[in-house]
Amino acid sequence: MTQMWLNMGPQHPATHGLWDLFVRVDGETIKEAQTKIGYLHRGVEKIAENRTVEKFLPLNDRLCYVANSSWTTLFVMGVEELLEVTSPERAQYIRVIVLELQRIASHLVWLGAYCSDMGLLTMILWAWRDRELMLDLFQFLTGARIMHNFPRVGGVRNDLPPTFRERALKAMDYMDRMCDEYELICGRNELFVMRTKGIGALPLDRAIALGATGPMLRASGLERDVRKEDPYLVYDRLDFKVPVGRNGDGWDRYTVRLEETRQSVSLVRQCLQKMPEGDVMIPGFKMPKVLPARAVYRRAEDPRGEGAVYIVGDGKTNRPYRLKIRSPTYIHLLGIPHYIVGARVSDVPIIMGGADPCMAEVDR
Amino acid sequence: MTQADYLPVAIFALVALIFPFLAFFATRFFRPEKPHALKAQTYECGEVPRGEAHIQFSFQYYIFALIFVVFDSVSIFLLLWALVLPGLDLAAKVSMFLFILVLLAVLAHALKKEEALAI
Amino acid sequence: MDLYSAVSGLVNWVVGGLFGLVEGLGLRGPVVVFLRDLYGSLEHAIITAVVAILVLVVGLLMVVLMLWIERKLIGRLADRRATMLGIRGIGRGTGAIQLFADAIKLFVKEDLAPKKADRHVFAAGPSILVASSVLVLVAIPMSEGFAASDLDGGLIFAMAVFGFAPFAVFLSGWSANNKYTLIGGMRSATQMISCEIPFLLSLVGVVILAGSFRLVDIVHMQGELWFIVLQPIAFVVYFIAMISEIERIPFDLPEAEAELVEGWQTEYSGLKFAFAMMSGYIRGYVGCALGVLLFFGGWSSPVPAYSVALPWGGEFSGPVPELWFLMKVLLLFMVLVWVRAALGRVRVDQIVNLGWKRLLPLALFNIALTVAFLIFAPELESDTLAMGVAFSVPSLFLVAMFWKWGWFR
Repeated sequence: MTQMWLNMGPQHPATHGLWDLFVRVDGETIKEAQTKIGYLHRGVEKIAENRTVEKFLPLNDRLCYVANSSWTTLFVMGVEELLEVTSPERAQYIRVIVLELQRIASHLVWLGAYCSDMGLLTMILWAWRDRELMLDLFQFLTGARIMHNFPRVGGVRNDLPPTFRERALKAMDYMDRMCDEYELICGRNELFVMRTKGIGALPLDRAIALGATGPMLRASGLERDVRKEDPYLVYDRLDFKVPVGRNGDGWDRYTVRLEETRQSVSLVRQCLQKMPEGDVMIPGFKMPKVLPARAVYRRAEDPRGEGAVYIVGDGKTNRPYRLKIRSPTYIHLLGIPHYIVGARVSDVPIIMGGADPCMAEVDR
Repeated sequence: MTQADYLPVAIFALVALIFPFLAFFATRFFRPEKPHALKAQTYECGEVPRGEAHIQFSFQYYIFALIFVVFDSVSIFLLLWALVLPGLDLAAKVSMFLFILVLLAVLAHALKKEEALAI
Repeated sequence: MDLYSAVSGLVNWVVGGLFGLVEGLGLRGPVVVFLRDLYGSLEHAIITAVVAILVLVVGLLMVVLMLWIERKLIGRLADRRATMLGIRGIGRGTGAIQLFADAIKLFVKEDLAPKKADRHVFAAGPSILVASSVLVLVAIPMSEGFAASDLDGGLIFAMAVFGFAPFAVFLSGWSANNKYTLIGGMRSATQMISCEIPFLLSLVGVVILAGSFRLVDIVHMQGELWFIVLQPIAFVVYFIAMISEIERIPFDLPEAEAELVEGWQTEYSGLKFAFAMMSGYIRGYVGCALGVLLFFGGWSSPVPAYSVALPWGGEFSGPVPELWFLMKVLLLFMVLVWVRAALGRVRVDQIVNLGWKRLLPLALFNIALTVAFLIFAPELESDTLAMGVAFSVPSLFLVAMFWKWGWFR
């Protein structure tokens, strides 16, 4: 039978951004796929070479429009390692709070988009409604809802506002309840199960071969989390579980991410409890005029997987000689054509959504 | 059943056919006409489509389409049978079951075949 | 019939008045006599046409009402307020005029067609769809009086015209020469071949009990006990197959917006798009109306007869039957909206499996059960309550067991 090439994107309701998956279909079965990436390329890495570190900080927020602060924090951690300074403990706790709130917000956006990909439009509104709470907390803490520009080299910009603790605890209690409710409308929804079980299955060996990290890898069954194996900030002092799946299909990706949301809620609670008093910036810290002529590679657990920055200082200026950003979804997306073959057209959004693409971060 | 019974249907069919065409004709006086080459392009997510869509599409449920034809006529047959059922004797009532059983066997066979053929 | 006599009275009064006016002006002659004769011979057809337009208008008003209910209800289920558009004095904050705004907007939109499309089929598709959807309205009686026709084979006629839409969808999907619309049209055909048979077979049990294809007779037979009690399996099958026929979530595969952009409607704009949307809701109304007629006692009142003396004299003994009918239809439609809010969309192979491996055996099983009861326990027919228990308990038990075994997955 005649086969045809079908564009799934870039201007497609299912793709979570400007991404084109070009598939060859026989009837509705996919025989071959290609990805086209780069519709959103802005040359962030090159911009970094021409700006001082302080000036580049706000641009980190633009790396991913769903999980902004995680990239800024990662960059700041990399610069701190390069300069060999350590931020005060309280600042580190605040950073963890922001990171985990960001993870909750990001997973909520993912869950909503994932459900709307299978026609369950109620869930996306519920998820975005609850994400608003996280955004409110961000606004309270950092003054901005999306682009926070909050971490600084040597600490964070400001301390927690007076009633932040109570508000955050209240929101976390609410999120705990809501996670159970999501379980009801997604996990115990026969159609959700029908549509996700066995779809886009990625066995562990192939997941490793394709370079999957984060929830994608954990859904395939490997317990691997940068927060555990290469602890940064204060994650070694906090108690949390790393959820793993079994088959690496759409269903496991959902369970892993939902459980991660629950763990993040508990992490925020622990941070608020254990947080010591003290400064949030290194007293009297000033950004040096020269970055040392060294290179650091700092990785962190982004909501989407293992993000990393590779910063090279040149010993002459305070502009990075080279900045390389490792985006986890870039690697996930490149892997999709390998395991999408044999799926149906209806499964494409679910397989796409399972990777949780954030195109701003992929194309950089 | 008389002709008079079906007169409303005929007139309604006329109204139903005229209604969309009339409405469509009426929009002529309200809608703008600004043709543009880009507007006449086939939409495919903002990319220029590769190849035509008028192709020999691989319809994957061919066996179902075949048994559909059989069952569609059977269902009308069953409906008529149901209409006169109270007046039938026992043999006529039961023989329909034998007929349905045969059909079910055929259906099971076809489904098995379909599974073997499934792409 | 009430509707016909009312309309004929009205038309005769208007036409008689016109002729009286003409004659009063002193215009007499062969032309007037000819017109009078013409009217005399065409009177019945003219009255029928007026009734047809009336029923069409009622159907379109129902579409407006249902769309508004759908928007508001699904908005509330998703924890938002949905449309709030209204003008001062006319339902501000209720979204009462949103639909009219939408209709006007689509009416004045430019009509686009892709250059590569088969223009004639492309234009004909939505028209056929709308015409076939509207035509079913003729067979739907709202009460004994309010009906456009009283057909012997009303049920069969309704089913036949109702099953016509996938053809139009397929035509328009193919004609646009767009890959999404092509896949959408093909999916429509797939859906038809998988759910049409259970849809028809679910009616067999009802027809056995009612002994007629006339919808009025079927409603009369439910005077004491609605068929939902006697035929629960048939209703389940009917309901699922009906959602598939009217192409709503969870079975809106032909316009699966997540993967196919807008499915078979992708290339349509302006009024053609409005037609596609409208026919969906007309079919929703027809599907719910048939469900109410077949399983929920049609226009019969669900409460026992009563009458209350009104303070200004006269008696009130419940709303008119048409109102009961519309209320039941809207309630059933609300269940559809609820289903839409709670469920996602199935896959194509899943709907084929559902139709052929789940619904079809279930429908056949229901027929067997009904006939077995009629053969082995004919004396039950005199006692409606015993019959209800005898029919519904084993059916429900069986469905519950199937559910427990996970047979519906």
